[in-house]
Amino acid sequence: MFRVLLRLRKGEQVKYIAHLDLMRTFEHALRRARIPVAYSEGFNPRPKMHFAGAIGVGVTSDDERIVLDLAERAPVKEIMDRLNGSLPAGLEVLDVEELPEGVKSPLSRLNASEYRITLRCPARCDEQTVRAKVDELLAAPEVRVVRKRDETKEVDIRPNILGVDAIECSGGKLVLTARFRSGSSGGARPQDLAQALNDRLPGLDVEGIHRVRQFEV
Amino acid sequence: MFERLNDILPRVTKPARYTGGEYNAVVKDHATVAVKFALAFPDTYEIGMSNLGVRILYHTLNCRPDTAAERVFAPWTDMEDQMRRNDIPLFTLETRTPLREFDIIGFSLGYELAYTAMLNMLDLAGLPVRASERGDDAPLVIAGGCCTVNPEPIAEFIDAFVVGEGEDIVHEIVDLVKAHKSEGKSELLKRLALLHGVYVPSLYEVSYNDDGTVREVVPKDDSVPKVVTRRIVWDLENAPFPERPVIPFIETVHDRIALEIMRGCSRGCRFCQAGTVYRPVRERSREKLMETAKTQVESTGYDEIALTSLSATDYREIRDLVSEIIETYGPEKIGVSLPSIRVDAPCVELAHEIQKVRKSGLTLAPEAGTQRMRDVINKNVTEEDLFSAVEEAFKCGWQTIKLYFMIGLPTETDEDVRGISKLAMKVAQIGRRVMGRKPTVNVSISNFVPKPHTPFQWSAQDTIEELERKATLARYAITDRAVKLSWHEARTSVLEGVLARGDRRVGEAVYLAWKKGCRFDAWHEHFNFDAWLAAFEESGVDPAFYAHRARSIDEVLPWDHIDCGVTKRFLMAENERAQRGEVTQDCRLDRCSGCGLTRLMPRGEDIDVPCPAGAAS
Repeated sequence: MFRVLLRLRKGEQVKYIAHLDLMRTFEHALRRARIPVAYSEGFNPRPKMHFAGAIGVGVTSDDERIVLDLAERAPVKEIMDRLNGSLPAGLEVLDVEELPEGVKSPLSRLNASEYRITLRCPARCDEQTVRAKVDELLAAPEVRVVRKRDETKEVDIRPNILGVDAIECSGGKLVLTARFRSGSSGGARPQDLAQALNDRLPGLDVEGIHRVRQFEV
Repeated sequence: MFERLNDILPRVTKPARYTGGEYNAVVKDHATVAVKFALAFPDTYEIGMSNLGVRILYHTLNCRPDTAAERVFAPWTDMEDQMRRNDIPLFTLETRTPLREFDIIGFSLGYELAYTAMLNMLDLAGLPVRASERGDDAPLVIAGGCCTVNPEPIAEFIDAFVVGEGEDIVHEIVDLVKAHKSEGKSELLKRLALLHGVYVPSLYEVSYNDDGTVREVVPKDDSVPKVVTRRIVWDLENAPFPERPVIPFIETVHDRIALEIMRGCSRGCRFCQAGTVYRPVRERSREKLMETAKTQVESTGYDEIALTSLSATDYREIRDLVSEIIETYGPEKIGVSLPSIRVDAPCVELAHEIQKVRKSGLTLAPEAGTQRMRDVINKNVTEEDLFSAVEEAFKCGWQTIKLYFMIGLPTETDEDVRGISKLAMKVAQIGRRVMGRKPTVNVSISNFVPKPHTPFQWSAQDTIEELERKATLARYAITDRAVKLSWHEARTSVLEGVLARGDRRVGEAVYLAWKKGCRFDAWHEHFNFDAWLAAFEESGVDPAFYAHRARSIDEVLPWDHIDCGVTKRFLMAENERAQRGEVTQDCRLDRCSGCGLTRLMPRGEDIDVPCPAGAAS
């Protein structure tokens, strides 16, 4: 069996696609591109395709990673070109690498992500003010935010914020670059940080969230 | 205007409903086209994107270099709130162009409960909902789809209706609009009214008798045809069919290739409107279908090909077609599905065959619980057909079977209703015998709604209370835990009944109901029957007059000026046969039943119309 690892960009045009819809969209593209993907057995055969860390609705990304099992070997360049000819505008395969046989899927090790969060902020905001608030937040023993899904619950996100690396602030626009632990067992999301920061520095409004990379900690 | 869209999209459910940009979507520069056509579907994106008619029109219109056809659906209530609050007018998905900047807005109407959504879309577009209040600068608002065989309840909102199949006429309309749009709307409407299949309601006058029934519907001047005849695409083989359908990002109701193998059905079930208004039966050739399947497989990436038609297993070469598709696409893991199968063992066997690639559920529609009742509705299915079909199904490995029935049918007795439960329990018994354990038999009961242009168009619909009583009767007659019953809400069925057989006066109730907030009447969570009742009260429209009253056979019906091809005389004869419990054979298997359709056949044209009656005449 042949295995390839792909890196996918999710652009502005398609940022509102939810993760499952992204997977289905990619599956359609695989068939249109006639990529010789392997299928599962059973009543309803599915392509053997695995995505790392689910991406949120409204979030763009430069590092969605997908592992594909292929039924036959195909040159990586060809896979990339054929897929890019079959994906809707806004989705683009950035690179494809063949995984050596017998190597475990590298996706399960990815447990953290770096995000660039763009917020609207009050015009008087400057980098020092934001930095001070961020430091205060990071120094706190716990950072509780409210998550609304089916039920409202409060969670402590502090252990899952790995760091806030860059802060740019000017003209009512604030851009934060931050790293979070992700994964199904908890994790923190960029929206959580925005909410927590807004509690300390009111008037913030999320304009865009972009996943820069996924990595292992 | 649309800068705010980025702020509101994160706040609504399923924002991808409103973003466009799907694979195969056609985006044209408006500077290069002469006619901008908005294809409007008065329900959610998921429902509208599953509609084959919309897909066909989108394809054929966008094949014209002079026309841009773009899609628009009814925004869900959360999106509507945001749009109204932020002054965002209803826009199309392809180019985010406000609807009112289009030359033509064409609604697809397949379900009466979508009427309020249609008004709401016009309003969200910033247009007056009443045709008479829209000026020359407003787009031409037209409507097509099977609801237009009785256009009267929504006549005051629509400039022109297309009665029948749209593939050809839509081009004639675009040509007319292109040539004459500068002349003003009243000129344009007069020209449109002369097209075969177009009904311009403002050019007709309706008068009423003292008892509230319609006296007559007559043209206001001699140039307009007295009767509008349904448009039929006689040469289905060469009719346009989507080559590159738009692939939705989000999951829709039918997320698969829809291969329309044939159109029309000659079985003659007396309750079925589609059975009359899509006549005659026309099959596409196997070669053509394989060619279309290839194009669609390559352009969509879907893993399933649904063979669609009113009764797919009546396609003459269904077996060969299915085998050929499985042979060709099975290795690529692309499956086949048959959305409608006849109730008999060979068809179940066929349904089993197609499961080699992908598995799916099995649904059979005996429609009524007793032989007497099935004879009345001309559902030519016997108990033996059903039993052998389910026996085959259980042998093939299906453990769950879904059965469709109706209640509220003309002449129905309590015995007929209990017959549904008895039949379902017998099916469960067969399951036990064949499998040696308990099967699941899901019984789905819907309420009969009498529809125009059917043999039951004169019948009284059961009241809500009566339908509820019968549903309860069916439920309590089930004593086998293998049988599970689900039942369609009676109030929506009665509303559907009022709107289906309404006349022009019912329009006021539709308007008031929309004003009172009704917009997704087919959606349980938004259905507000009290608002409808208030709307009926205020407009002086008595729902019982339209739903629960049996019409006399010589009454002028509100849709008598629409000729669907099947004659009123034939419908009357069928109605009488129904009362006597006499069946009428499928005219493709037996002799011509004289439905009257041959009157509409084009003469002297060299096309093969597979209507045996036509061939004989």
